[in-house]
Amino acid sequence: MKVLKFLPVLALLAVTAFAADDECLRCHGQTAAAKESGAPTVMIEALAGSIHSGLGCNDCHNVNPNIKHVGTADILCGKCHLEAAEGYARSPHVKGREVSLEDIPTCITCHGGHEILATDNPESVTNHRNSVKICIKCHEDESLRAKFDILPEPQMIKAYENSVHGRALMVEGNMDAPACVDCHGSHSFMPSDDPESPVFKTHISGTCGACHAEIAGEYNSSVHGAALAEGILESPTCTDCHGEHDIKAHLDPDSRVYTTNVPKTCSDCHTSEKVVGKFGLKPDRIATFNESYHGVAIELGATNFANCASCHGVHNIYPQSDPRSLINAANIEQTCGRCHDDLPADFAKGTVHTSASDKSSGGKFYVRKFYIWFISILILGFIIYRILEYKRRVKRVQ
Amino acid sequence: MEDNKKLAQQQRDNLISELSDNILKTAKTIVRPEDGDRKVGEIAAEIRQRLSFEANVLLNEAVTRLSPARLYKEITDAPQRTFQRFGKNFRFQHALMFISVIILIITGMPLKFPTLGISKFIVVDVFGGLENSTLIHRIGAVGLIFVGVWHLGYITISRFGRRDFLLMIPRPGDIKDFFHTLMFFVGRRSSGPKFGRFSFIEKFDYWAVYWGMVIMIGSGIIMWFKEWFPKYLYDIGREAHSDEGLLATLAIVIWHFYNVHFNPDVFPMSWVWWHGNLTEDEMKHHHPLEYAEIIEAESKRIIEQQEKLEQAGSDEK
Repeated sequence: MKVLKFLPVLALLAVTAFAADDECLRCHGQTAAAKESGAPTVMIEALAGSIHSGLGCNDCHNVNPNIKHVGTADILCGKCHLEAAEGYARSPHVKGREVSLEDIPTCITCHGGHEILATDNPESVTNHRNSVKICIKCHEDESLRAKFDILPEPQMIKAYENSVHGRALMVEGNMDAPACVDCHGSHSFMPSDDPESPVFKTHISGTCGACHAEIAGEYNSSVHGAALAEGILESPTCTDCHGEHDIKAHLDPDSRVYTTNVPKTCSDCHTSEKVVGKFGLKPDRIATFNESYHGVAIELGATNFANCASCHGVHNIYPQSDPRSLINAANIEQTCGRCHDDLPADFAKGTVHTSASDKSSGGKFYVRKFYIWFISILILGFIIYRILEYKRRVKRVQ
Repeated sequence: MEDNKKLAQQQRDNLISELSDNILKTAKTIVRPEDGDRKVGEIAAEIRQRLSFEANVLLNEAVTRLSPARLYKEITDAPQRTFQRFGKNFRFQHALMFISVIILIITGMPLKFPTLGISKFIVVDVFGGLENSTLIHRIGAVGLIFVGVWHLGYITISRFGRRDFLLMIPRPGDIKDFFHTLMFFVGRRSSGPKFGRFSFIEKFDYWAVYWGMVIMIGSGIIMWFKEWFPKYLYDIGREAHSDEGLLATLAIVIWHFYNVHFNPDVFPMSWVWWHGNLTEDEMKHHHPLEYAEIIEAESKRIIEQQEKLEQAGSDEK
C-alpha cells in the first residue's frame, strides 16, 4: 500500500494546484471579466478532457500568480517526460531553434497544448497513424524549405504516402506499419548522416529488422551486410535496393526490386567505377547479363526469367567461394534447377557471364568476329554492286 | 493529260532553279575571290544542268513505271507466249518460306536489339509478351524446317527439282559472268553477259539461302533443345543464330527486295512468284541462252515430226 503513504501528499498537491488554478482562471478563464483583461484564455474544457487533466497550471507554467506577468510562459514538459526531453535536446529541431524560434517545432507543436491526449489514444494527434500528418505538415511546406535549405526535399518525404508502408498504415489501417517516428525515432529525429541516428547507414538493417527480423538477420550475414559491418559504407543496406520513403512492395512494377528492375538496381553499384574499381569487382557482370537470354527477356519485360537475385540470392548473397552461396559449385545445379527441369549435369557447369566481345568466352567470340567481317564485306559488296548497276542504268537512259 | 505534263514540268523547273540558287550561294563561298563571278556562274550552270538531267531520269523512270498509260499498254499488248519458270511445287515452297521468314524476322529481331523501343513495342504491345512471341517464332521455325525438308525431297525425287538443282551448281562460267557484268557496269563492255536458266545472281541467292537454312535451323535446334547440349555449344549457337539472322535480314532487304521489288524494271513487284510465268520478251532479255535452247529443242522436234510424216508418206507410196 505504497500509494496510501503518499495519499496525504497527493491530496495536498491537488489542493494547492486547484487553489492556484482558481487564481489563474480569474484572468485566463472564460468569464467576462477575464475577457476584459485581454489575457489569453484557456480552453478549460479541453484541459479537462486531456491526459493532463489532473495537473495544475503551475505544473507546466512556471509563473508566480502574484506578480503581474506577460509574455510566453516557460514550458516544463521535461520535468516529467525526461527521456523525451533528452531525445528532443539532441534533435535537429532543437538546433534549428537557434536560428528561428517560430518555425521550429517544440513539444506542443506536435503534441498539442491543453487538449493533449495520450499517444495510444486513437484520437490523439500523435497517435501512430496521425503522427505522419504532423511531420508532413511542415516537411512538405515549400516556403519552409526556402527558408531552411538544409531541409530534405518535400517530394521525398511525401513519397512515403505512396509507399507500401504509407499505404498500409494510412489507407489499409494496418497499425503495425511504420510511421515516420518508427524509423527516425521519436523526439530525437536525428538526420541520416548522424552516426547515432537509427537511419544512419550502419543502423538501417537494425531499424528495418525491428519488424523484418528474419530478413535483417539473413542480410547481416550476407556479403553486403558483412562488408557494411566492417565499415565499408559503399556496401548496400536495405534502403539502397528497396528505396527509402518511396519503398514499394516487391511485386509492385514500380518497385526497385520488382523482377524486371533488379538488374538496373544492382547495376547502380556493380557498374559504378567508384565501387567496382575500389573493391576489385568484375566490371562486366551487368553487361554480360544483359547480353544473355535471361537479360534480353528481362529487358523485354518478361517476368518469369532469371534476374540477378534468382541465381545470386536476394538478402542471402555470398561470395561464390562461400558454401552457402547459391552459385557455389556445390549448389549451382540446384540453383539452375529451380527453373530448368531437365538440364544435363554439365550444362550448369558452363561459364555463365560470357561476352562475345571477350576472348575468354570461347567459340562465341570467334563466331561474332567471323560474322562482323562476313556481314560487313557482303553488305559492302551488295551496295557497291547496286551503285554500279544504278550508274549503268542512268547511262543507258542518257 | 497535256496540262498535267506542263504543270509537272513547271514544278520541276521551279525546284531545280531553287536548288541551283542554294548551290550558287554555297559555291560563292568556296570559289577564290580572284576567280570572280564568272567562275561561280560556270559552276552553277554545270550543277543546274546536272540536276535537271538527274531529275529527268528519275521522273521518266517513275512516270513510265507508274503511269496508267503503261498499265493500259501492258493489257492491250498482243498476248505473248509465256514460259513457265516456276512450277506449282516450287511456288508453294517459296510462299511457305517467305511467310515463315517474315514471321521469324519480326519475332526474332527484337531479341537481337532488346533495348530499342520498337523491339519492346513488337514483343510487348503487338504479341503481348515474350512468351507469345517466342511461341510464334517456333511456329515460324517449324514452317522453315518443313520447307527445308520438302526442298530436299524436291531436289531428289521430282524430275524438275533434280534438273534445276543440277543447273544451280556453280560453274567457272558464273565467275566469268560476274566479272563480265562488272565490266559492263563500269562501261568496259557494251553489253552484259547472256544468261541461261540461272544467272550467277540467282545462284548466289539460292546458295545463300541454303547456307542460311543450315546455320539457322542447326543453331535454332541447339537452342530449342538446349538440355541436350553443353552450355558452350548453346552460347555458340545463340551467337551464330543472332548474327546469321541479322545477315539474312540484311541480305533479304538489300539484295532480294531490290531484285524483286525496288528494281525499276519490276517495281513495285515481280509477280513471277505468284503465276510462275515469264513472257517471251522477258525470256529473251533475262535468259537468252535458255530461250535459245527451248526454241532449238522445239524446232528439232518439229523437224523430226515432219521428217517422220514425210517418211510415213514415202513408206505408203
